Amino acid sequence: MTRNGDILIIGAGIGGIQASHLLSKAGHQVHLVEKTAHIGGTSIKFEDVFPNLECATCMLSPLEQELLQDPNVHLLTLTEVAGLEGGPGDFTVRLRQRARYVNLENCIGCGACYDACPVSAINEFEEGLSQRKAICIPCAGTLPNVPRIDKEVCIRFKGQECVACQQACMFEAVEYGQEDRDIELKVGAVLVAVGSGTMDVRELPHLSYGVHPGVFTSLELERLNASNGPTEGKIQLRDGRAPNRVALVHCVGRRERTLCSGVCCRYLLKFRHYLRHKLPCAEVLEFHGDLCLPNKGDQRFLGEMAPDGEGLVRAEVVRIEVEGDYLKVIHRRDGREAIETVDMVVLSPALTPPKGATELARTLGVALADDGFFVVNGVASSRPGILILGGASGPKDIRETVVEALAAAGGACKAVMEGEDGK
Amino acid sequence: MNARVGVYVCECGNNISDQVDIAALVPMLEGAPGVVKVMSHRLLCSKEGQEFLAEEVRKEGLTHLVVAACSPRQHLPTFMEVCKRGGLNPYLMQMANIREQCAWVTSDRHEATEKAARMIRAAIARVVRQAPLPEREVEANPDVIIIGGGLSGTVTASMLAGPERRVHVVDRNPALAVALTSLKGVETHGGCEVEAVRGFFGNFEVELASKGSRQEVRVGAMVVCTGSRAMTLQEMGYPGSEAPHVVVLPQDPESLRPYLDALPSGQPKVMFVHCAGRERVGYCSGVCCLRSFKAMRWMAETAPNAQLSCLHQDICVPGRDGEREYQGILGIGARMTWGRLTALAQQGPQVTVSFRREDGSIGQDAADLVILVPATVPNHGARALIDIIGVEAGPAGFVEEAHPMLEPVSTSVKGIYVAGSASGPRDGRATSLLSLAAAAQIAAELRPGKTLRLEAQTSQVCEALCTGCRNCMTVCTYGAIEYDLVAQTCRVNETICRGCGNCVAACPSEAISVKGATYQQILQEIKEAVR
Amino acid sequence: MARGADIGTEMPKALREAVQRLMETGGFEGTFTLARTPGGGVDYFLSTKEEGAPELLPLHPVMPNHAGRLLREMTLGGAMRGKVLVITRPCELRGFVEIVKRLQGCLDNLVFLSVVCGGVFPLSMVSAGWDGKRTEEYWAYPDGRPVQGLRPACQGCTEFIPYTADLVVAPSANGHWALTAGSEEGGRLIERAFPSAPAAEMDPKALEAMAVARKAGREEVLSHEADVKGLSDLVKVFGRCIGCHACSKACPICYCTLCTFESSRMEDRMEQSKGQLEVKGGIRAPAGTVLFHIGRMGHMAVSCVACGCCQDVCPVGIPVSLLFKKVGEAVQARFEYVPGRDVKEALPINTFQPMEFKEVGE
Repeated sequence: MTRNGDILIIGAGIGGIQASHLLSKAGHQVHLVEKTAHIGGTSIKFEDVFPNLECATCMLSPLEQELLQDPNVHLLTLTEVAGLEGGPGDFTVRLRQRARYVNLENCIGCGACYDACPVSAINEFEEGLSQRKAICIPCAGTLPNVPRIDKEVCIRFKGQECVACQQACMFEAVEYGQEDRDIELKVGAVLVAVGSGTMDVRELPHLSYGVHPGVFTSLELERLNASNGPTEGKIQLRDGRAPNRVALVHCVGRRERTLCSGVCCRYLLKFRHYLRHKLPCAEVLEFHGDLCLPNKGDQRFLGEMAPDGEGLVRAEVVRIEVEGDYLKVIHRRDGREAIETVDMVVLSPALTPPKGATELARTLGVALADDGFFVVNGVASSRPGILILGGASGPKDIRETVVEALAAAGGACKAVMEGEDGK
Repeated sequence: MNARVGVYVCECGNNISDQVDIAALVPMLEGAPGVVKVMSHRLLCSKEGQEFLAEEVRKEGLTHLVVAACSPRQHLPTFMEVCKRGGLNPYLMQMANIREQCAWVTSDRHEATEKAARMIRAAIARVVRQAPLPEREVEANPDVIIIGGGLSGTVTASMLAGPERRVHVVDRNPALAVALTSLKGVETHGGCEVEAVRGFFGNFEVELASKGSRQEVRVGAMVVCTGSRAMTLQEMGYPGSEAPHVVVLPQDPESLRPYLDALPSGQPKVMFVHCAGRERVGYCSGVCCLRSFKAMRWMAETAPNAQLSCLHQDICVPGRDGEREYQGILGIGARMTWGRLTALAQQGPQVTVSFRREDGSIGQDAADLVILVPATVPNHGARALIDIIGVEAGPAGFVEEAHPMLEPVSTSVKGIYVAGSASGPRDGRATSLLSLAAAAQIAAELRPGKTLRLEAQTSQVCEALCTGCRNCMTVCTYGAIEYDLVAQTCRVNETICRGCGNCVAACPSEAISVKGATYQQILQEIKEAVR
Repeated sequence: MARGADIGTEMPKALREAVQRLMETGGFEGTFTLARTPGGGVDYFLSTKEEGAPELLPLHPVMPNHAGRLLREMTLGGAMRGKVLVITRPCELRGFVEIVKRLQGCLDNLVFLSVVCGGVFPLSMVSAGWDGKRTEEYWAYPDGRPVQGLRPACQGCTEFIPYTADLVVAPSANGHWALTAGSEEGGRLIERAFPSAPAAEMDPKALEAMAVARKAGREEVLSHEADVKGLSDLVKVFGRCIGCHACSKACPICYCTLCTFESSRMEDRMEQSKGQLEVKGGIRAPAGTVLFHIGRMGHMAVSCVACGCCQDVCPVGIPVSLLFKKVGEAVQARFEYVPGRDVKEALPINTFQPMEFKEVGE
């Protein structure tokens, strides 16, 4: 029996991208499947990454660009896995690709269509902090630099005769006639690189998220600080004022989930850098428990971000109360309760299993553990030929994700080869 | 030969032509030195545009090509391909970015047109000084040498060895694990050390020495799997650590059994002290809290009458199992105290443990047995090996990754990889994953029967200007520069050079330049731009 | 200070005998020291124990060549193959260490014997014929009385104690000389070579006396010839230069294979200086004589060990060494740097520290 050396990768975040590069170099054809319309995953939401405060875009965009030009990588955006049969070396996978309504070949990404579109909708990529059009890319710089039409909000798909975007396009790239399509592929192995989700902090009502506009999640702060984000990099409150006193709250949901996510301490420390840079006058208080700094360079990073422990408060945040424009952070320190009044709170929610993990696990026929993450042994799932990498099998930072991506890519090659041997 | 430069201006639909007056621009460029043809096109990157351009190169017999269009980040590879199809060396093409750097950012149409003309003239001045660069390849040896025969070495070897690839495993220890020696396609060199390394990715010569004998192994790549070890009591340097009832937590808690047997009857106190040696090494090892908790659980089961306590600093238990294990320890009633160990003292049958709390105050406790949970440090001999093979190491002596996130198993030297805990403290799972990752990376980059493509735009040393100061050698992260003892000047090994240009900046005599970006090219380009 | 052995009072004979013993017992393949040339002069030799070896004159009080410069040439390609006993003056050792920092030489396999230095005489005195008695008088220098006729650089040298020598010949009590250890290796060598010699130590009083004399000497030499203020004075003094570049040839720090001032860059200097010609109406040929010195100063002042070799070879009597010493000391003080003190100490001009010279930046 001839075995198939093609590999399916689900998820085009940093893990999926690095696995694709490696497999392409190793001579495999890669089918890279991405649920959204763009690649890059969560990492492209960051301005800088710890511990070297490297510019994330500068780090990722060459990798993304290279991926788009790689003849061995077949990228399928807006695509999800609908079914999987077979075994290592001989899987048949059914995919469902939603229509983009924009021709990837013709579009050059000039953006003329956005201005023309009369619709305004909430931009989910920006954590709801800004508005987008029905035809749009999530933010400047996302790749492929080709917009899509969001059928859910586009008025044309609600029966109105709007052709504004088509008329604005100089390259005849807008194609209302496109249809969703089913794709069937033969692959030798499957890599699952769907990343993690974050806990919905509304589950913890005592933290006043959604009640007071001064409470933000960490991803919201990332986007506020991002130069391609909704405020072009201004860190501000929802009414546009600059905050004077900011509380960074560690370990949100740690106890509820019985899980230390392992990345929050470091990114909250990184926020100190953002805040110092953008709001040099603002006072920052960091309410933390155990500081989790597991890598060899992290202690140095702590020293740089919080010299002499400046702004570090070892205390448990009991609740956050609203007081007019301000927020009272009630915390327990050395057994006693104390209060600090601030005007901005940033919560660091626990990392959770990815959205839709249950359905994906069922589709792929692999096991999920009690905690909702995929069951793994190293990077192997419970089903031969299917490998799990990155945040899907527990909270990971970028480094760990990339290590697993490389390891899983190696595992996929091996799975295909063992298939060839007829084992 | 006279230069025949063709200049092709892309309108990019309306993206460029809206802001730049193409009709006015074209005549402004005609008559520039060497230019034989100037033309505009609606969209050069389109299929039709590419074919047109390739045909133009052939038809007009162009020696150099300037494409005035978008950012080379977007379409440099596209137009280099076009050159090849048109029979022109791709390095004889220069892009002028008149979209992002001109049309999209310059509001006045007249100014934008003027600016585009300057940018294109600058590109012309640069491209005519460009030399064709050959695409180069080198034969590569697929064999791999792994230094260190522990867990990471074994995993890496088992993944790599095969009918087309021989794997050598070197270890200072003469007796290597059966798991290794029985592997097909693996040649083990027990009791050997690496003495010297010559060559580069694809073709390394590694000199091995054992007692009285030497041998040379030829490989294409190397993997550092030297691992790590626990810090010793002496290295931690706590006063009083020689006390008999003080012990370092061993890998396997079972080894603690003799100490348990020696505990007094009744309810003996056993104290685990975290972060032993952390201040000295300057980092959190990240794996010890969980190891300690597992040992505490074992202790609670093995010696149920013992009173467990734990002197800890910040608990570091990232990931799926850590927090549960931590809660479990709290559940069995272990007494947790936050403190930094300062001193130990044997007083009668007990050990007094002194520590400093976070507020600076001093505390004391006593226990019948004190178990220090040690920091993880690089293995013996790692430092010497790092110096021999020339990879970069961090302040703690661990091998530094080529990029801390994106290239976690590559080092500063191309072709030398690192796996397991040689690059930092790791638990078993991380060690295996890093080893699998290193093996996968090598399998992809060093494929049996395939040649390696070399960088065309390498740097070059002008011997007449080089003063032999060797500054370039100190900044070259690839080890691509050699000192020529006869000429007393430096020389670039073009097989290793990646064209980063560090050496160009470091050279005080302007003796080094990168092909395709020489001083003359840049100077003339700037002169045209600001004329 | 580690253990030392008394070698008696009769210098330089005692020194020659000590070197002999070290060679016999120390496991050296060779020695690098001053020795008698076939023509009766003195120069450095690398010699083995074989027959026909020249007569050794260790630490003879002249500096025909800077040993650091010679060692650089010998170790440019890598370490010396066998163990060699190198006998040099402190400034020569420091100069070599500086050049090793510049990756131009290698310290491996070299064992250094140096001296609490009394300075050396100018080369001109050697060529005029050497009076044997002068040597004997010379070795009385530890009593603090200035030796007449030393090179100006030596008269004002305050760095006369070697930093990194394994063995140091030093004045001991009562006019005796001692061979003392500056490193563990040195200690072992002394134990093997002089198992029964009486123990002896460096005499701090002698060092004190020398330091006082040298400080006074330093004031003296720097206040006369080197009393140069501002560019106009520099132009005047360096104006004497004939462009022979002998100073850079003698310098232990100047090592460039091809000096810019000797390269083809200088050939079209007239073309480059057209603008100057238009402004000034005249430019000097040969061009760049003054610029050469100022450029050289910029390159090496931070490493200048004030050995005096440059001045010794200047045919037109420019006080090169004193000027370089004056500038060098000022630059070195800014970086709290002593050239050649420790091979691990980074070169200030190759080291960037974000916080240094804040006042210059502001």
